[in-house]
Amino acid sequence: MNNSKMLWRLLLVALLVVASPICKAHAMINGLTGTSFNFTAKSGHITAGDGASLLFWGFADTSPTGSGVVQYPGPTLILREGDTVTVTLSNQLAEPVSLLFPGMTMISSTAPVFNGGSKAKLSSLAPEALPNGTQTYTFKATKPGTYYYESGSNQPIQLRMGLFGGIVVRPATYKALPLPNVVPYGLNAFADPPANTTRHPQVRTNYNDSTGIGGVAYNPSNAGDLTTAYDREYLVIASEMDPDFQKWMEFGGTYDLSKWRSNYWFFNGRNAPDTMDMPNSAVLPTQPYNTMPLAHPGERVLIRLVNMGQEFHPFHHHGNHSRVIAVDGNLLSSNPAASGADLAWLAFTETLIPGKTMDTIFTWTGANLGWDIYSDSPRVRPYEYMADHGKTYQPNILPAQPQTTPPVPTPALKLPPQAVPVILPTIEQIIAGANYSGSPYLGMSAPLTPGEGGFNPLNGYFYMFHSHAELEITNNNTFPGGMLTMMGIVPWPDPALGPLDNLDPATDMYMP
Amino acid sequence: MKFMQLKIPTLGLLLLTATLSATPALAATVTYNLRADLGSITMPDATVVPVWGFADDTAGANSGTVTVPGPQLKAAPGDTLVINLSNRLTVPVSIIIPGQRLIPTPTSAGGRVMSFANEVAAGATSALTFTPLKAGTFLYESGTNHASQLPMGLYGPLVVGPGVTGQAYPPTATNAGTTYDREEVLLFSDILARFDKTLNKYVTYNSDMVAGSNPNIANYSTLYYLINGKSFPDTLTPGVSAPPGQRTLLRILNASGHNYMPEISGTYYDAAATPQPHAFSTQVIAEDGNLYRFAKPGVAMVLPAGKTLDAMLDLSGAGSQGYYAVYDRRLGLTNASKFPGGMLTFVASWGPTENCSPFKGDVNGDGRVDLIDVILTLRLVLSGGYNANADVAPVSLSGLPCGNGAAGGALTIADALLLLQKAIGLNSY
Repeated sequence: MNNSKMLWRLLLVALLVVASPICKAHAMINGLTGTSFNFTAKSGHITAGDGASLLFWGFADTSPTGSGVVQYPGPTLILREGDTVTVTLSNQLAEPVSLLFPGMTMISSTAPVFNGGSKAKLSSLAPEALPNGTQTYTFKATKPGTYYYESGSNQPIQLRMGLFGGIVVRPATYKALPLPNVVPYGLNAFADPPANTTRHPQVRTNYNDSTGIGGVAYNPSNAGDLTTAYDREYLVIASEMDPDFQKWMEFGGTYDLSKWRSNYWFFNGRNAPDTMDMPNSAVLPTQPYNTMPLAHPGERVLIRLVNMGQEFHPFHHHGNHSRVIAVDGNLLSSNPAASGADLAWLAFTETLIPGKTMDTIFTWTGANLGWDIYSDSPRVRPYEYMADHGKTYQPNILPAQPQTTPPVPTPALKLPPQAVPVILPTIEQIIAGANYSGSPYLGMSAPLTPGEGGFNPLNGYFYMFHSHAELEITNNNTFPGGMLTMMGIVPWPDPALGPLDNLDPATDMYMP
Repeated sequence: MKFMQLKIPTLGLLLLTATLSATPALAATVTYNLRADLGSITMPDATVVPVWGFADDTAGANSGTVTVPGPQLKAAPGDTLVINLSNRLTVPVSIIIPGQRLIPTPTSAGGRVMSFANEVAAGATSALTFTPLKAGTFLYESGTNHASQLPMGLYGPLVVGPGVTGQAYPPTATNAGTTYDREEVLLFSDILARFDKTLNKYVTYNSDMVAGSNPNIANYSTLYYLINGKSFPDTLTPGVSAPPGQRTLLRILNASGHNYMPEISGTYYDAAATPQPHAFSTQVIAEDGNLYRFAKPGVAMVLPAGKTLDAMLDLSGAGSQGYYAVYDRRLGLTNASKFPGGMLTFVASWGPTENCSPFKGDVNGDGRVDLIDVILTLRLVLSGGYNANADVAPVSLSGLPCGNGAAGGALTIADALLLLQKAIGLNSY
């Protein structure tokens, strides 16, 4: 291989890395906020993970500030408990469309539509928008939680075509955060603008103070209730498609609906690897939502799961168990100090059930890895799980870890810091691993030594989140694809590299 | 060998039964004479599906009609249920009730189990005894060649209860809401079919079975989705009723080989001076006849094959009438692939003396509300006549045409006006 060819290859690799979806991952729930929304039902095409173009029907945000682009799934509504919400639906499809809001308190009429008053001519389960017509729905978001909306018309066709979307209702005590909920990127050559490198400002112990600061999924049962507090939240809407059905809808011909069989499986309307691309990616104009959960070690990550398909999916995640705290917007956990029962459960595979939602809290602390993820003993890092690598447990500093509660170590149980010898790979050796930090240690986010790697925009550990029905991590019979994405555990930024709020010099801990 | 494995626990159960045979003093023996026989059911699209089903012959030999599902059996907790099963099919049948105790005598042929329970040969009659009965909702079904005999229609609901008046189960401190005012049985099942390219039409599994072609069930998929043996819109007759102000227990069963997701939710207005809207869904209080420690609320219920659920539809706070959809969220909402159909029905929520049917207004009974009905109503208004179907004013909070009720009984111009709106599509009730 001559030098010029090698140079081209290196350039190509560099280009691929820059274009790598992971290095621009986004950490929040994308959606619409407010109390008044304009939807238009129309058709469009999505791009499946293998490049197939499939017809779908969806909703477009056609409010004055909306994109107007039809999307799969429909726009996520992010509401606040107690809000009275109006959705005006315009219909550009050739058949009536209506909207159901299960779990919402409907104020506008819920009367089903029977054409001509004939029982056999049921058109919609709710008031409908006729083709080129409109219909207005008004409801009250009575209860915090995760919900969905879906068409109430010709459901066997319209729900398979994509006429649904997610609803997040935040509790009345929820306060918007002063900074965007964006994971800080690595302070390296590929870093995002400095605005995004500020450490996430939430302080967990303040979530449930009397002023109700920060993110809770549900109203706390009392001031000490931490069970639904979270640092970051993500929404995952599962759905499926049978490409033969979509083709039949587009081109006609013969199709037997009783033989409908899914062959594409979606998280937030995308198949892997597109699940990991940026939200609002220019190459996926009708699929604006990604599925790329990111978190710092120890953060509580609320994952809101919705199944808008018709099949059951085992949603499996690596890295840790998560705690299911609510189903269909009904809280399962209560404060252990209170008299109520705690019905939450731990699982590493949550069953996604058609028409149901589930809220889970995931935390990754590095527990039981057997090595100090920061390789900096005896310093104690935020929310670090120390029991298995020799650091002193400080219960007065560390917040409770609800899933992997660290045992209070006795001196006899203390392990020496484990110094795993690390030979940093050379640049040629790590081109395939764009997110390899150059070390098994998570550490703090900082640039690698010059010449060592450099392809590590997030420096994190990546764990697969996917359907454990392995058939469903394919795109039309090709692995990998389908319901598959990665969860990134991203190091906290190294305080040595810049000013950080709330760093207590005495304890080297981030203090509330 | 398999036969031996089954026989050993049978002996154990016999001994156990002997020790428990002292039944409570109040327990009764409830006897049903069921006949397994050939019959047929008709789908809303007029397709006739041959079935094997159960008929209630309690009134006399061969007196009953085969229905799918079979007749609802009722008994009280602690009772002994005796089913005298007479078999008029050409194959052996039996009955098992998962969750209820039977002393089984399995039948095998050539080392292969043929029936899980006491087999009744073609043409024979034999008694099956289940005792003591446990409270709850249960499925009785064929215990013989289930994979074939269940799709053919050999199943039905058994309701054991209430024990104490109005209680589905003895309440517990954490699941206290077991008291109900009325109950409804919703039995989900389906009809399988294949598409015959030669005939260019669907052929049901049942037709192939009756034709004796020994079909392979794996080659069939669901064509008709049934609630209580009917597909929408036949499910509306008589339909499900849950009046406002009452707690209705929905006894939900799945006799099919597939998993379904009944979804029921809605909003009612309370009875306050200024009525307020409230969203509601069902509370599943029990599963397979076992009371949960805590009820499970939710808009959709997981109903796997062979499962029974007891779901409370609590409209005790409701002051408004309603017409609430019940539909399978797994989209079994078609009849032979055509919407609307399938596992879809509505809960009619109005009082016994009211009629808020959204199908009111069809004065001449031609199946639709049109200008002729408006004219007929106007005539009645002018002549002082009355027709309950035309009595649609006032419209309730939910938009349903409840009429003036029995006390009113008079038609006014308001009725005609509402009907006119309905006829020209301005009023959706």
